[in-house]
Amino acid sequence: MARTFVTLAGAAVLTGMLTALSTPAMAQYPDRPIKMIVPWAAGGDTDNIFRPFAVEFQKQLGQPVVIANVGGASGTVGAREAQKSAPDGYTVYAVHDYIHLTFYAGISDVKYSDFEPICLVAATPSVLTASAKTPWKNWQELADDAKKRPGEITVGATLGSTSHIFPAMIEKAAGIKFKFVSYDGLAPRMNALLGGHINLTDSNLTQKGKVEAAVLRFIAIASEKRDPEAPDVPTLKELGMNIVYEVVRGVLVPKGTLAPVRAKLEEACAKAVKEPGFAQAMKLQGTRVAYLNANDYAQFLAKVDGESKAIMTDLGLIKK
Amino acid sequence: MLDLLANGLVNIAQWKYLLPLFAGTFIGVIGGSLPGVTITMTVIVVLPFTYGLDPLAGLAAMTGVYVGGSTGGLIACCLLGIPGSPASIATTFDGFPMSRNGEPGRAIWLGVWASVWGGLLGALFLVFLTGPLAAIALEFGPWEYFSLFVLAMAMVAGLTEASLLKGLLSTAIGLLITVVGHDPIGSVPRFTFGSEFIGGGFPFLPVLIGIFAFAQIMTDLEKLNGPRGQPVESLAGVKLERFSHLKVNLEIFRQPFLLAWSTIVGLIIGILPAIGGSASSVMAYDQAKKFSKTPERFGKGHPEGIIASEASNNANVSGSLMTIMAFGIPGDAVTAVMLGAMTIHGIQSGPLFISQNPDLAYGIYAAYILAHPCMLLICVVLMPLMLRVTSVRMAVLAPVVLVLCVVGAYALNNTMQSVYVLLLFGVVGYVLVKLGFPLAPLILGLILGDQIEINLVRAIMTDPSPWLFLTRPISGGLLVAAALSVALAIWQHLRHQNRVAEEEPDF
Amino acid sequence: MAVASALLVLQDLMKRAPVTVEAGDMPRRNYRLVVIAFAIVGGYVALLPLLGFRVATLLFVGALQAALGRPRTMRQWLVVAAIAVGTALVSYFVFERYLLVLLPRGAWTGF
Repeated sequence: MARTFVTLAGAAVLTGMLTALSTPAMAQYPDRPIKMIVPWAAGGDTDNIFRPFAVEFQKQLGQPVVIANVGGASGTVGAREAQKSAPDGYTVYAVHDYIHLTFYAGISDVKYSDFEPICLVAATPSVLTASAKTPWKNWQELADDAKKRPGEITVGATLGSTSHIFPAMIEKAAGIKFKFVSYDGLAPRMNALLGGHINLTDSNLTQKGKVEAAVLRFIAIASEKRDPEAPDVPTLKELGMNIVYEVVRGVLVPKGTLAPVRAKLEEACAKAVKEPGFAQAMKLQGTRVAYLNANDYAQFLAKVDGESKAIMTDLGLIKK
Repeated sequence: MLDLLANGLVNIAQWKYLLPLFAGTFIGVIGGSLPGVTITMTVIVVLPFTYGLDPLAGLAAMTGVYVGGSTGGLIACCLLGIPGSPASIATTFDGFPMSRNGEPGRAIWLGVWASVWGGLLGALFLVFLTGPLAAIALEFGPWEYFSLFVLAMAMVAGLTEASLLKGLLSTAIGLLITVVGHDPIGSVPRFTFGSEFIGGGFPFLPVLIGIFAFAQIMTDLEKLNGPRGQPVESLAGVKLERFSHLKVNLEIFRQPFLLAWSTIVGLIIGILPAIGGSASSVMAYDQAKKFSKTPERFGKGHPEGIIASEASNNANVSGSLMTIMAFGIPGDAVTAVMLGAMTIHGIQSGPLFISQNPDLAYGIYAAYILAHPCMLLICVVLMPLMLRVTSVRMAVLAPVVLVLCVVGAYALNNTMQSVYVLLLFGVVGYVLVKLGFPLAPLILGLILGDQIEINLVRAIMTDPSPWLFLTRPISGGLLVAAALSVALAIWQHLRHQNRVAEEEPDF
Repeated sequence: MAVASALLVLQDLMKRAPVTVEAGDMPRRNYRLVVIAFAIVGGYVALLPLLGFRVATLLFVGALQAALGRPRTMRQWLVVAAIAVGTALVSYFVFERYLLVLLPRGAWTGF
């Protein structure tokens, strides 16, 4: 037994050395697998969007892109980990709007400007969703009821993140008041909504199956135009509220990553989002492909950051 | 319904589905048996392969991983005294002592067979009662969850008759550990002393592996006499005994109530989201002990302990499958990944899933059922190999197992943070065991800590009235049961003290 | 609650005190080895991000093996070395290639 083990180990050593020798120290980037930090759990919305993206992304890069789910503390653990990573292009960070919100809410000290933008990938419009155990068939009934009993209608939300900000914007636009209850993540919110333990929540078109089964109701969608996947759901704009709210997801790298490396990633990203397979996957996620190159994405991030700060100040949630 | 199931079984029995199912089960058993490699990790490894497969083939592979992983965990429990996956924690309590008593084969096969029967019993519920059971689960709001967790802790604190007080304190320590770090609601840092390391909190998995692996390995090292040159005994220090499958099965079926009740406990915990296999294993173990005629034999290699833990963690899988089948809502990370795979294939999940895609739905049921014989076959082939671990010298085994633990902790979220937590709780776990604190209540405190807090806050955020905890029928009932459970534990404790002299537990 | 637990512990310890004198029939406990083992694991964890997974694991497995059973002959040393190298490389390949876990690379070695 011991002898076979030694032989095996010896063989392993030889293979290992050969592999180590055959890869020169500083070859063309990328010469080893790339880690993509997704700051939420596997199977969540962000994970479901970036996994199909990673498949196309690695085809373009020629090296495996390995997703590392670094969850915890409203996504801030992953943000911190990404910020600390070596700026060598072997760690990329899958981000969404929470990065601005958690910073201004004082939950995290990681800011979007700690990173360099690569590209914007996708945008998912938020949908205001009601439990079927509530009496409201449409926005008007909801708004009337909410005016009658301010602060009594419960909304499940990840506090300080997008699912909190979106209903809060509606509160402000409609002059009503909700009661927020902490439910981190879409799955627990859906559970509570189906059970009638909360009245409303922010969700997206992936929940269409539950609407068809009449256990949920889509009240309004926060996109510019009605979505062909759910043509009966009115936009908030139609209802007289000037709110377009999409959760946008993009790719960042730690500050200090060299320009050629960034260019390579940007090029791969641009090609990856154009793949038909990716578009199809996004459609199933209730999401549209929304590509922006690094320059446009940088401006976009700056704009969103300003808006987020304004919203958070408006809502009285700002701590920084 | 039966004809749909029969169709499903015939469908799955084709090579294009059977092969992925078998492969998934195999990978699951291996992943489950490695301490630190969780079922979630294993299922993510399988995920990319399922993109290219027919949807049912992919889901069959993932179901196989889930079933295989829930069973595979028992191997490390019985042979190393370290849970291979969190879902088999309680198997360690009796499986390892039984191995040490010279019966590693019996310990493992009791576990495997209990898994098979528990899982198949669970399948009955899965196929016939998914709708109604999942509907009951929806009735659980934050109040019910809170009361349920109170009941769980009240039950388990009484687990160790040696010292009720140490049991309670253990639970409290477990709860305290979960309080450290950013709070789960408003992300306010607590007990961090300004340190970024502590700010991340102590994730469950590294704490669990740290406590068990180090407590076990270090206690073994104590017994190695003289580091220099003297022969070192192997971990279990036993030879393979002769065992018979028939005898093991008789042992399980001699107590049909134990098997049935453990299955039901596992199933209930499985249906309720966010609790998971680890809690079901510990709670079924506790129940088995409460109802046992020979509670004093638990913890020393009692077959009932192994049967309860393993039957319940496999039944737990069928419970978790219910909520995604009935509502398209994942109850844990594994089912979340499965749901993600369904979405990628364009399958609309939700309450209409079963009626709109009967082929797929009954295919999944069939895959779940057939995963059990697959798992049994894999175990028959693998076990002689696995049992060799007992003859590896401690000097070789300890470093290799520790490397696996470190890699597992690191892989949890790819940060060194978890590895530091592993080491920290290695020391803590060793010290606690030396002081004679029981680990089961501590672990349950750890599992439930966050959830109990989140649900308490949610309940109060939803409605500030505390009376709702008592006036909501399910919640009130659970709290009454908790009070009764404590009373029963005290009574048992007093009776026990009169009957048996105390004994120092040797972990 | 804290007062209650303190009281309970005290009561518990007083009750337990006379019973704990049964350690005599146990084999002599080798606490020195435990301390050494903890120190080696601590060193491993500290060096992991600096030396990278492969190098640190190789050193760790070798060191802990040697600490638990000092090899005396050349052959025994070779076995220790082979197991160390084997564990480091096999676990690296399995996890990095098949389990999609990118293990830590060394800040000093870049390896």
